[in-house]
Amino acid sequence: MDVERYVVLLEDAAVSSAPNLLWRAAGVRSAFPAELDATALAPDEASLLPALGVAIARCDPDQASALSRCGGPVRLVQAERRFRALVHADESNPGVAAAWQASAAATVAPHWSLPLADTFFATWGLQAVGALASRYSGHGVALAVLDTGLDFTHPDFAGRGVMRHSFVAGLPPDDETGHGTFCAGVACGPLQPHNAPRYGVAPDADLFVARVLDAHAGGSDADVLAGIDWAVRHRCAVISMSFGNPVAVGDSYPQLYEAVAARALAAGSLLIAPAGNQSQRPDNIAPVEHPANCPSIVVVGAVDHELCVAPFSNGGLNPDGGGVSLVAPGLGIFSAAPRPDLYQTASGTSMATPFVAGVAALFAQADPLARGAALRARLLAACLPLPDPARDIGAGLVQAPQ
Amino acid sequence: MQARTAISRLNVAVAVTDEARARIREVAAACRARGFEHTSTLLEVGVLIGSVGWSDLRKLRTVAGVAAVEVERRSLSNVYR
Repeated sequence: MDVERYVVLLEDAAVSSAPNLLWRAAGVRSAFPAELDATALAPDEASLLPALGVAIARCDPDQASALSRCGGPVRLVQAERRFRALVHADESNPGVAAAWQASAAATVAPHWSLPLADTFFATWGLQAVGALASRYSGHGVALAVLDTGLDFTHPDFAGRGVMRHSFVAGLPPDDETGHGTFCAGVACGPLQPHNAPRYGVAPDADLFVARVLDAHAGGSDADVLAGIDWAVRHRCAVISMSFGNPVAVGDSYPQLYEAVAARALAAGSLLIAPAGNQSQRPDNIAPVEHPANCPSIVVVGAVDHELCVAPFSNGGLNPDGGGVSLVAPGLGIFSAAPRPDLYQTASGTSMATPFVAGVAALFAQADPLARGAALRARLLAACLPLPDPARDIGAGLVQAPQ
Repeated sequence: MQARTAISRLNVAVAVTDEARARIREVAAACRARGFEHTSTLLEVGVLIGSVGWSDLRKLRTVAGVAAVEVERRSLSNVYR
């Protein structure tokens, strides 16, 4: 049987008793780092990191399973993730590698083997952001998706109480284009979809759907602003807006949108918007577009299955809010589609944005006092550093609270 | 001249200043007096929606309590095609 390394997250009070626990439950002998080097573990050995409340155990899957069944002092057991991109960073940028190692130990994210791929159980995006291991589901958090609406008859959303409103004259909130259904699916699709792997980050969030885009997935300022106003009025902690329009290098942010975003933030609503898809990397990098380029809006870039910046993802070329805040999965993303298709796969910073919205809802559930700027700070502080430049990835890959 | 006529009226959004948010209706009235056709008020974010004649756009920006005026633009979804 294959022997791998597992990260065992312990309750704070359980570290001192961990050697006994590991031995009794799984036959794993443990020691503290001064006695045993975690990088040179033999089978059936573990190294304890008391400051983090973590043990790194080298054992087979049966032993890991036995540990995970312990309950009580063992909060989580995860196969150690492998991060190929940072093997290179390890050689060229020790600072980034050290930051990643610290973050990896602290976040105890799922097993990673790059490139990430959709599985029978969950999409690659959910694996990348750590949603599967999170003990939060978005319960009690109001999350608004401003888009083309939603297919409310979709089996994955039917029966779910969804607040809805259309701000587009003459059109109902029912989605016929698929863009809104897709984004709502990524942000808060169900824990167990009808006939698909899990694709939603915050399945228990209270979903608010505002239609602000028409049948061509375009929308006017008046409708977008009305949608933001509606979401703020309903005290939505998170507002996901997967749209924008291009700006030029040197353009400043729009003062009106910044005033609106700052007021939403002060009222406890965090606006999240895509960086845009105009880049053709590596030769051409386009600036973060409007309205994401406002300082008070969280700007989302896209990464691929190898956690490298997606070729289309815009970069932080302009000052004063024109930077990328963080990145999320945005290439080959699987999510819901209006009937009869039910599911679809798409790429874009549109697809990355609701990942961040969903993770923000998890953070909002984890700390009911974290709203507005405090919620934004939580999101950014938890990001996983990646090797690409901050111009393209900001604080790094968004990570769910565990 | 024909092009000017075609865009003689512009859809705009008007943000009021933080100080003027409590009296947004007064600001709206002052805007209307300068040619602003007011269609809706977004109280939560302190914005007036409406339209204005091309020639009145500059005047609207000088109304006391107005922080910013944006001429409407369209946003598009960010699917990569």
